[in-house]
Amino acid sequence: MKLIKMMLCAACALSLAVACDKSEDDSVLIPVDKTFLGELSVDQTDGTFFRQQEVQVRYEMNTDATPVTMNIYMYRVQFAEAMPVKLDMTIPAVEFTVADGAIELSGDGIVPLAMGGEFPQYTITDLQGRIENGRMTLSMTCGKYPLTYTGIAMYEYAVE
Amino acid sequence: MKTLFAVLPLLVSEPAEPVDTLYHIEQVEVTASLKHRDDLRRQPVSSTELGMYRLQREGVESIKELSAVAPNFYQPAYGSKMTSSIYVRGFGSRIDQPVLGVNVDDVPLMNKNSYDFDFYDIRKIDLLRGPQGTLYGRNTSGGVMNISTLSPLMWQGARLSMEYSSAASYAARAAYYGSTGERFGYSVAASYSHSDGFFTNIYSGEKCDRSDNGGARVRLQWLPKASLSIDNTLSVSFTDEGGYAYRLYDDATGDYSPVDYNDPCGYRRLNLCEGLVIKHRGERVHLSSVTSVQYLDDRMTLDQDFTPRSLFTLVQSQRECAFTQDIVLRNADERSRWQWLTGAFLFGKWLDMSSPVTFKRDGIDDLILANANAGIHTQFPDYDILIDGDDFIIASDFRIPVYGAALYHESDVTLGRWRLTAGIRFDYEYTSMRYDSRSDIRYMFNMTMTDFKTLQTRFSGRERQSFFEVLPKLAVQYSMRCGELYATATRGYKAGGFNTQIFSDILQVRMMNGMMGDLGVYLPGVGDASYDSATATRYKPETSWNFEVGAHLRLGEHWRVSAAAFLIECRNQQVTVLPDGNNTGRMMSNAGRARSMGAELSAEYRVGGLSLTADYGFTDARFTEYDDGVASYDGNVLPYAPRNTLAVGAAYVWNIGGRILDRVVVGAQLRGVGRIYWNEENTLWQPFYSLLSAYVELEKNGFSLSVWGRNLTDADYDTFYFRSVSRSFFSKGRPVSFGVKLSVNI
Repeated sequence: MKLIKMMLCAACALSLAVACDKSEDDSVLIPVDKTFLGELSVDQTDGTFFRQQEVQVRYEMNTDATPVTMNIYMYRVQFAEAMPVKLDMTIPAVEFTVADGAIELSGDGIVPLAMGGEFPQYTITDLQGRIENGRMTLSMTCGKYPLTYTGIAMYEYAVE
Repeated sequence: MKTLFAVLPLLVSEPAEPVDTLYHIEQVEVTASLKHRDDLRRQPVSSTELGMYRLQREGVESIKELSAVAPNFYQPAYGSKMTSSIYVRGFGSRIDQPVLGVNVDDVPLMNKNSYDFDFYDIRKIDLLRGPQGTLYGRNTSGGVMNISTLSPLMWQGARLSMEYSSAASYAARAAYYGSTGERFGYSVAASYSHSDGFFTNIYSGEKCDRSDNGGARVRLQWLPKASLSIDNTLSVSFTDEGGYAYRLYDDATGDYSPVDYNDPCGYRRLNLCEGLVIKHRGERVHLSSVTSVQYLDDRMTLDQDFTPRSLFTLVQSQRECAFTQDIVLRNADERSRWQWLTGAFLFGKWLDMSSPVTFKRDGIDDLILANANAGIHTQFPDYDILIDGDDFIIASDFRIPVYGAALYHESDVTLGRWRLTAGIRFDYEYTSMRYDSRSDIRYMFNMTMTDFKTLQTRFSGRERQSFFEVLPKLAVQYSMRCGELYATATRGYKAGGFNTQIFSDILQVRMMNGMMGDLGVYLPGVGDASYDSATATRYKPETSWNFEVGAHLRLGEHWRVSAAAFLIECRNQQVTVLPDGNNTGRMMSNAGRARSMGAELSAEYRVGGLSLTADYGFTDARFTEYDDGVASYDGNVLPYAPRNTLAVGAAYVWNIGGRILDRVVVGAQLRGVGRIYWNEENTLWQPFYSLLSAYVELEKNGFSLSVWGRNLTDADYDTFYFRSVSRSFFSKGRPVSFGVKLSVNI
């Protein structure tokens, strides 16, 4: 009897370990909504760059879409020193893949949304990006402006 | 009390010479206020007293017609009966709290929208200049006006009058004063007046300042016993008028355009006041109680741009109930060296106000979209923000209760020829404001949107604040055979409150920020939080110290002269400032300091049937510290108050005693005010101007027929200036007018 109890306990412990391992192996903890704060650098195409600090960029996954895509929100962005307004701009339906805990972004010919509707003059081409270890890097051409962005995560909404 | 009734017949019958109604009787004094025992001209205060005869003959039918008659007192005639902008010694206000307290039969009027009412059967008016805060409390930093109506215990009979005058104006008044013996008196009085108006709005082709006014008063006076008196007055009045005869002024050329606006302007008001005064004259202490309930219901309609274009309009409706209770104790022995008065005052006011601003199509384009698209066009010059519809409303509702309590005391000590006065008042006030401001618009940015989108903006909440003020008074007076010399130091205050007029500005800013935020567009300076809070509408009390020296002199049998010189230091002055950021509104703030100094001289000469009066006031009132966020006005003269006031009058009573006529009275008066600066920059002003009036009155057996003329030289002058939507406007003074009045006193 004593031996049977020991074997049962061992079996339970082993099951638990297998369950944890299984959860750690099979579920990927990818935040579906995350905000970054960093620098936006815009190539003025005359050899100079316009840099804007403390720019917030947020991504949000469209988990209902098939395949799953994400929207990228860029807040109060300014593309040139002489630009008198700042805009909130949304890059919708950006494709991504996940591997080794990193998210790889890509997109081309995406019409962003701004000022209440589609903004074709800022059409996004050659979008590439990577999100890993709380860091986001983006590169794209927005209309006529090539730009890059590097940001550090502000906070997380981690969902299984 | 028996002595009082013994001498009353002297007052009831027509006097041998028509001197105004102040009689000094050895043992009994007929006073206008329960807080002042002595004739005001024997007290350390600068005052003007006007009796019934003078008020009637000079055609003083409202407070504004006392302008200049009392030195350094000015209430311009413009706008409507809601506009009670009163200035005393350089200080005053156009909106919110007044500088002058008004009491009618000892009942304090709690809303300055009630101040402008038609006089009828006014027995006496006393105007005390300088802060009267110790005895009267809030909103008396410029002074107090005590108005006494005719008492049925003092006069019995019927009074009728009918009057016709220029601008197809007519008025009718009727009153009956009766008594059942010595202890009970009653009176019923009613009045009605109409005017077609003097000024034409060329847009409609109609007079814009027509008016209809009516009122009634019922008074009951009862003396249950010798030591007790009960006096109850119920009065009601209504007003329905146009007003706002504002004409456009061209800043570049100095030319005036005629009155020309397309949306209606008007003011309607219903006033009710129930006042109960109970006085008990004990052997050692006199106790008085003044209780009142007041109700005001008014509605102002304004074409706020005063142009033929449809920019924006305002409809402001108010409903206010007020309750006051004043308890006054004073020593009974009027011969004692120590005279004292102690009192307690309570009040409550409850105001409900609604003030929707309607932006019409031109206003939407000029005032809202022009600003919004100016920023958009810097980046997207070919596209616009559009707003759907011909108009939208910014609705604002307020509920503002105010409660106050005060304790006060004043003592006079007479030591030989010297009289020392010291008083103090502790005054506490609490007020709150519930506000709800909101708008719905449908907008579209035509570069990216294909349909209008609804934007709802709302700004609601509650603010509250309280104030505690200590109001001391010190005076020293020296009596001579020919009069008195005095020096005083008094503190007064204008209550704090909430500036509700800028809520539409606040909501416009919020709406604009909301629209830009909804679009995700950020313009520099737009969206800053500094003008985004109801705390910006709060303002604290304005306080002032008044230092004065003066004299009341009786020079022989015929001359009376009063003179005073004063210095007023004002702190926390309630002024308007521009808030930080790119906003369009102005808010009231305690951002100013000012100083006023000046002098006043009144002289009166009476001999036989001739009476001559002269009243002159000079004020140099300047900002010592005032920056409104655009410019500094330090050293500039305070606007809207005249630097000089002058009134010179003469009247002669010719006692004929004939078969046809008993008496003929002729009189003339010249009143002048100016210079009046119209703005803080002191770049515009009204020079000194004078208005000549005259009258002839024929009297026989209680009937009188008078013919009068006002502004006989048809002087052209302005009474008010303001700016709206970057345009300047003036209000013109009334032209020459004539009238005839038939009165019967039987």
